[in-house]
Amino acid sequence: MPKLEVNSDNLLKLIPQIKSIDELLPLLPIAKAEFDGFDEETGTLNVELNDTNRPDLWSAPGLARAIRGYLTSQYRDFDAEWSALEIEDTNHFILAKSNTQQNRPFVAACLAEYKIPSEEILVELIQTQEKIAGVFGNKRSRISMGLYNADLIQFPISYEMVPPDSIRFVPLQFEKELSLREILNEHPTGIEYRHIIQDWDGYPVLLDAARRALSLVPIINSNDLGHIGVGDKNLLIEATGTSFEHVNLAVNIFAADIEEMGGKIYPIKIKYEHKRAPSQEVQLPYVFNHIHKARKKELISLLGLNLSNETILELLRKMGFFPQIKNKQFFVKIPSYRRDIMHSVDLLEDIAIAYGYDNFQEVPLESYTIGQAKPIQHTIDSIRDLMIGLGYVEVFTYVLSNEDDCLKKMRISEKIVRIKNVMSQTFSVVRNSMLPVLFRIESENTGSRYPHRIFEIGEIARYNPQNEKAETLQSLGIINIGPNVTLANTLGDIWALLSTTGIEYEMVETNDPRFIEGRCAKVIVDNITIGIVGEFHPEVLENWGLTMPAAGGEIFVSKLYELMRA
Amino acid sequence: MGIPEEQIQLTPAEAQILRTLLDKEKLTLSQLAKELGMDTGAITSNCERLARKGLIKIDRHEESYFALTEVGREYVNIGAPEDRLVDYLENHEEVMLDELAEKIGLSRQEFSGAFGLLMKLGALFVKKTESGKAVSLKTKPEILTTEVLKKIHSNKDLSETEKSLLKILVKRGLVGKESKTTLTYQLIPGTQKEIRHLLDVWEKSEREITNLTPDLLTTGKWRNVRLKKYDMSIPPPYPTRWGMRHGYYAFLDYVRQKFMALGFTEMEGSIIVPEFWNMDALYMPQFHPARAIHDAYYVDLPADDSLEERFINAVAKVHETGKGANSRGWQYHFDKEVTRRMVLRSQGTALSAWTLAHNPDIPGRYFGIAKCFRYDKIDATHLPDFYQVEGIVLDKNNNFGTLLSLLKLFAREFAGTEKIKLVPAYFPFTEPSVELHAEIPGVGWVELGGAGIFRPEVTKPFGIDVPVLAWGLGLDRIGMLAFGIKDIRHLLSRDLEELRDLNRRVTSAKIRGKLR
Repeated sequence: MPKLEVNSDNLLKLIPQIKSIDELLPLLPIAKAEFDGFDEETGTLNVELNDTNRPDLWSAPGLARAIRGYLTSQYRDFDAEWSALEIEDTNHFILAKSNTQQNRPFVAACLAEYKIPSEEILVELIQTQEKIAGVFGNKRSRISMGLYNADLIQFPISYEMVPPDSIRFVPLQFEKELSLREILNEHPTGIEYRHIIQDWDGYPVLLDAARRALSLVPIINSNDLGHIGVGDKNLLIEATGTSFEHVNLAVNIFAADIEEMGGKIYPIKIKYEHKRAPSQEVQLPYVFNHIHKARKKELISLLGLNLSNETILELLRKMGFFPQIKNKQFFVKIPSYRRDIMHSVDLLEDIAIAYGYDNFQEVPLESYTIGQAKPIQHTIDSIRDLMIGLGYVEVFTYVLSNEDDCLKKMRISEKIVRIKNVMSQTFSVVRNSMLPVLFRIESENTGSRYPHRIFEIGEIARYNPQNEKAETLQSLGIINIGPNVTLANTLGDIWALLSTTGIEYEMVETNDPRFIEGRCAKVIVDNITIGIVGEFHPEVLENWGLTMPAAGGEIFVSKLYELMRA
Repeated sequence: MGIPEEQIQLTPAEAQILRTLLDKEKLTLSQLAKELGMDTGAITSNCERLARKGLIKIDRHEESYFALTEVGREYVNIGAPEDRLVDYLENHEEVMLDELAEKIGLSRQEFSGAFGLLMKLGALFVKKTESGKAVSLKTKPEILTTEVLKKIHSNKDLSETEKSLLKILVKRGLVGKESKTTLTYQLIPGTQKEIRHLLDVWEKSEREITNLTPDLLTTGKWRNVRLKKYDMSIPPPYPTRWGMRHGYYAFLDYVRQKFMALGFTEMEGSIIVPEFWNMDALYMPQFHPARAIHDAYYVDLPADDSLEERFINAVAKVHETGKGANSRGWQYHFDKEVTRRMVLRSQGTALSAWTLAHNPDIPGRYFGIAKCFRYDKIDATHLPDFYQVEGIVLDKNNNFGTLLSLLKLFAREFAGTEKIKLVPAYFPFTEPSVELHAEIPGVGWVELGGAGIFRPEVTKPFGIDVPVLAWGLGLDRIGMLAFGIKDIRHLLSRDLEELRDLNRRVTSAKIRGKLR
């Protein structure tokens, strides 16, 4: 969820209806925004925007628009304004070449006459661009954006894929010219994002009419043509990406923001050589002409409210929509800086927010249902009771473990479920047994009074040797450790446990490297192994840094449960 | 001198000896034995121990004395030959010398010794007759040998004259000279007071018994003993076999009980699920930021081929075009391979999605206590795995008002308050979405969880036509409010000593009925 840092003075200027931060805070929930701190000295307000599908709110002008609109029911109809725009200079276009169609086919852009008034505003513009590309655009993989000083650029612009060594330019923050390939290897931003493009046949670039690079997409702008500063007054805003809808949305959001701050938007055409876009020529800002049709029932039935048509229209207006009623149907125009309305419920929520969550009346829950635990829970709880009655302390361990604990220290080797994207080697596998995690607890508690009698029932993942598939099981692990621990008294505990279940079982002597030879048995029911018990091998104890004899075992509770139900 | 009292342990016999010596001051072994009615062996060993403990003094006195030989002891019984001779002559006038030895029953040797002795003392008169010498008693000797032997035998004092006889008796082999050691016991002078104190202390403690035994009970001896007083203020020993529930599991038990009481049925499912249940079925688009490789743990298992095609198709359609749910959809290409990839469940809502697809009851209430995994750096606040509690309510009458009612119920049951506030929120799978805040007396407003009504894009692909309320509650907050533990994760301590205390706090809250 994006966190935003905005200058409170600039924000409040955009909402003339309120005078202070104190008045602003209670209104933040309208935009699903959460107050995250205010620095009185610098005037910096921190807010967190919770709706990941509303990038139009991720800027001071966007946030201001929502709050001002809620208070006044007034919104500028950008769709109407943008539809009326005509391109003055026929060179104001971007040619999206056919070789972009495979990897990153879409580009969007517009021009803005807006003099960047201060460093703060500049920082906020860049922040919005980065939030859209970073959060909404999945770390630039789906969308990336660029801002340019349009006065430096010769139109038209070309968006194309070029060989990695064919073009050189000085990237932002650098002083020397690098090839595209070198940028990926040397520039910190290149290193961070190169995984997106490095396997492609060519690298996407934006070039001006003089074949000068504006940007290596989606990595870094040129220091010459892709650098903006305070005082720049003609801007080019550009977005590229994998979704036609979302690159256009990104530019629309920026266009609306700049207009909110007093700038003026000039259109640009995108000419697609390939056929991935809905049409070969597209004008930006892109007017989606999205009109959502809904019957009244769809808009309010889930609210449990009886609202008049007029009220519904008013509430929709408060939230920035342009609704009309024709033939008892609602036609709701959705502004083109929003693409989050997929279903009538999305409007319904906005109606609810405008109505005020505090104003709803409770409707009693009337249906009658019977509560029950999941079936295996009864078995789990009964076994826990038995173990506690036998004097064992229940412990709580992690499901994630590592090969050293699960295999090496236990003197076994077997297939184990591994994490592919390991964060920490300590937690790199799903435990194959409860014993290693209990031993880890023991190894951390050698200073605690002995004897220790510990157990836990938890989920483990084991490979089934028959079908090579992994299965997850609820499993009971038991360790009995202390100076006078013997196999005999542990077996007594196991006997107490198993005999109480009433199931007929056999103890069949087996060899298992975790246990002392000749002191280990499988617990078998109907030819199915449901567990293992024995006295732990001294080497296992040594591996865990333990100096006390220990006995114990593991019972697969899920299997026991299935057998008991059969 | 001081007696280090606490180091001194006494046996009952030792205490008895000390007590006697305290009364009688100084006693020999035999006197002590007589006094206590014990055999001398027991006395000497006990006194040796007492001396080693520095409580008594033992004096050894060496002296020589006369004792009877075997022959001497025989004479005590049958009389010495000279006394038997005198005795015989007292009863007869004149006896022929030749016949005398035979008549008394003395051997020749005995007779000649006795005769010679009596002649020397001038006790006999010998007269010559025709048939030989006749012997008669002239005067009875003053000292009788047998009497002297008897006195020696019984350790009685001898008179001066009797003593003069001793030399002869030794010569005759009736008496021998021997030596003996006399043991005398006494307290160390000046310690009477301390010994008395020691004995008093001992009286109070050791003579009482610590434990009642089966033997005392079967023999009835318990009537004669006193059970020692137990100092109840001393901390008792820690029980070595104290089984107990883990505090966090006990907490989850509490949560489970609560939901069951509210008419909810528990859902279950594996921790390893295909992305389908974890994300796709919840209408989270495959390009959603929360689905990047760095947000869930992927496992090296083959794609889930058990996932039903009909489910995948219905969900793919709603993602791509919204068809089937009267929606616009997400407008992208849904990857049916991605959906089968196996991940560690990252959100409990996966359970709800599965339940929707598997003929849930309508009306129905479900909850799940789900272990979840988030791809995150692990530290004190980010554990490798954690629990979430969430669920759904299916009912044809569901709407925002019933959601409010449900959340109020949760606030009352888990936080003891009816003062709640709903705040607009965002979840990809619910619309409208709310955050639940509750005002707790003394704490203020706290966020208890999130909720909403499942989007039609979530319910319709599984043929669910009624509105479904979906909710999730923050376990941390519930734990804080129910158990008074600031951070419920403290219960996850891995220190067994610390755990014992924490576990007991949870049980304690239950016992005291402090749980709401």
